Amino acid sequence: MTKRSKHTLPWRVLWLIPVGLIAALSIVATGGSGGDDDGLDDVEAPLVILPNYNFFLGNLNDGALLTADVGGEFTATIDIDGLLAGNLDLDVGANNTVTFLSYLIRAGNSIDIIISSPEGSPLDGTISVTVTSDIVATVDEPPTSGVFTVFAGPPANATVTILANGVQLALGAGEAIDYTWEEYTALQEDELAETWQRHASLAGSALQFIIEQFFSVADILDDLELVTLNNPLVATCDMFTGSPPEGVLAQGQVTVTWLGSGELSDGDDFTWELNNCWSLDDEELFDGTISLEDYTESVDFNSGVLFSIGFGGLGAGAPGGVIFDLTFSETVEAEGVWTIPADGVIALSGGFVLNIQQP
Amino acid sequence: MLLLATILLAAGVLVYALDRGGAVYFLSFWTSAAPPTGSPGSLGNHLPTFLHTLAFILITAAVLRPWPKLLLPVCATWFGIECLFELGQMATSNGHVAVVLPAWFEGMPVLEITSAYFIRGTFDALDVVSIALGAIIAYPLVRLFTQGDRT
Repeated sequence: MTKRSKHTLPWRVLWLIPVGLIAALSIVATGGSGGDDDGLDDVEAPLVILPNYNFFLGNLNDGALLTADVGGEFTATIDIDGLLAGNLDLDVGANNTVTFLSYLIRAGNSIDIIISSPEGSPLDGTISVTVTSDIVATVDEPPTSGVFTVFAGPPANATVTILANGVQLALGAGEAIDYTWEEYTALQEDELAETWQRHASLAGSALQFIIEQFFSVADILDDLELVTLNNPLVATCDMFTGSPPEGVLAQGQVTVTWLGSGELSDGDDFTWELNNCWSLDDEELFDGTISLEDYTESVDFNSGVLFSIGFGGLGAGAPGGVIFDLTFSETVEAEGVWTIPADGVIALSGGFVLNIQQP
Repeated sequence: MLLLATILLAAGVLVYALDRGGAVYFLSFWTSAAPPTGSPGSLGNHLPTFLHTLAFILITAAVLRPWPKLLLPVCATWFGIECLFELGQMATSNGHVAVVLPAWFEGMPVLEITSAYFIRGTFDALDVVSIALGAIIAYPLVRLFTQGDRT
């Protein structure tokens, strides 16, 4: 007969495994509602859109990072560290038409920008950008406050402090120098500027670029229901005010196609095709496709409040997202004739996962 | 101890039901036809956290009984586990937690809101205090239950 030592834990200790699991699940289950796969189907109340939401951008789970080939001169790839998180203020009009008013990028966010040029450049390498104080901006306007640091190698971090009408740049503990937004943006192409200043300028442009792409997609979220009713939805773009560039239509169009059927539901895909689509405001020509894959939407169980909406899942391995195969071409007018400068074409590939959630 | 733990957990559920109704995932059956009927006030925001920590220490101690030398590590471990979940809700870490969650969580009961728990949840220092209180109070309470035990 064997006798168990009084110091040996008995088999009932194994009960601690389910106890731990139950504890973890019960903590998570006390969280807010959401994740209802049935989405709108179970909600009878009208959809309520709040005036404020959080937003999250992440890398595509297939590893295709958002990459811009700038005129064949260099490529800039944006690698989001975890999630790029922020907050949105919006105005909800009739029929739940949403207008984005302002946004905030939270302190703690960080991204890497990988610069590579075929002929080699002092700018080549990885630029690490970390937001150290919330960046606050009105939509379509430069930010008015916030701080981020930029590190592209020794000797020190550069600090970019956003002011009301520009920025202040400092290397390490060095003297801070004020720039207007125009001067700051121009630094990246100024071969006489210090490399750290050019990196700091590129970092600001990359942040601005990814936010612009986020809003370009977020802006059509409230039109998706309309697309399902008028599939495909075709709209004309601005007409060139003079002769268009050679081989370009005087007036292009944008076509949004829903690839689902029945009712709009989770997992649906859309394609957003731009054919010679010119923007008079930006004087830019867009060509290509934006694929919007794995639509997600959930609504609070009781209140009818939109809890989350977006494309692609935030979890590791979740499919979908916003995938670009798009060119932006700068257009220049001279004597009534529009042309595209050879170095004015940006080819965008890769993409990001996008999710907007109730705070 | 198990009975007391069960009562404490039931009390926590009751606080959620009264205070937040169907806004909580596991009480989603609590429809708008039965809205929150009363509120324990600001205490209701932290009482369940306190009760959860206390209850699971009691359950663990009951399973491990009679090993009194393990009581302090048990309290410390549960304090750590509960704090990790709370810290995971901090704005600077919630995104990092959410992206490492496996995709198969989507569509699985309870697990499907794990990312929402971390992203939507808000870190609250008072919750950490509640966890600490739960762990501290659990220690003499378990000692009281086990004072007659021989090891």
